[in-house]
Amino acid sequence: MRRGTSNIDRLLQKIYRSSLLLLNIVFKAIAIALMWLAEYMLTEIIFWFVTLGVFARLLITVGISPSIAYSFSIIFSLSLCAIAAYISYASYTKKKPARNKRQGEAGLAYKIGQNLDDGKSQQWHEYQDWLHDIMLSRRQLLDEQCPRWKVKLITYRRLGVFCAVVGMSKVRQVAVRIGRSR
Amino acid sequence: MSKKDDPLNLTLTEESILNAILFRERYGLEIMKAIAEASGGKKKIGFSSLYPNLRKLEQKGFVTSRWGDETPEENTGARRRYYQITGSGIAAVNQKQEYLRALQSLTLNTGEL
Repeated sequence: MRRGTSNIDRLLQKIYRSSLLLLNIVFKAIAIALMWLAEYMLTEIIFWFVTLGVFARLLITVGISPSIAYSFSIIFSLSLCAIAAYISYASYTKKKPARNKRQGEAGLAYKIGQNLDDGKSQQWHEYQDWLHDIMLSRRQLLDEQCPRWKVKLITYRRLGVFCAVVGMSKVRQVAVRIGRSR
Repeated sequence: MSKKDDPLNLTLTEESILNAILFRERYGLEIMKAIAEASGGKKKIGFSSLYPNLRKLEQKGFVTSRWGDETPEENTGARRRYYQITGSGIAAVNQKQEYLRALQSLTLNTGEL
């Protein structure tokens, strides 16, 4: 009886550790996305609001009805922002030297690989080719001159799905073990 | 043979995967590209559908795999895996095609009546 209980305790500890690990990955991905938004998009968002307000006010003063003025200024300010974002992004990528290869989505993939590859993980054995192909597809998209932001978004989404499937597989495996020990 | 392993119960995705590796071994991304290319881009399989399906087919004994000799991916250390159809996989594809052919001829006969 006592032995059975200690087995369950150990398995529960494993579930707890796996869940913490998954949460850690998810929170890190969210933090990276927020930091990216704060770092690169904050100026664009402020710029958009200011342009929208100024342009709409200008059109209303000229005598155009407010609904048309606002619709037109939304379209105008959005396109202006998109151009500004593109220009700042292009100048940033030109200026910035390649600091560390393992940043962004490549860094996340590296962390996932590190967490899964403990030498005896069944999930690593089963799904490492999936991770390999996600990164290979990323490389191919970059080589095809696909926009960097698009590649980033696609890879993050794929890595997110990968984490969810592997996490579920891990939880299922632990649940089966608990069932057997009982 | 359980109902699940019955070749006639193969899903379209499973059937597409088996057909993609019928004459040569391929790795995951290659299978996805082959399916998209053969359908003119109309049929696409995502990563989340391909790999679980490959595992299922492997468990059913329709597919076997081997690790590639290429160097592991630089960021993750993950390796490429090549999938190959087995004898029972080929038999399953043939059985499904025979069934569809028989169904088509049956429809023709019924139409003549």
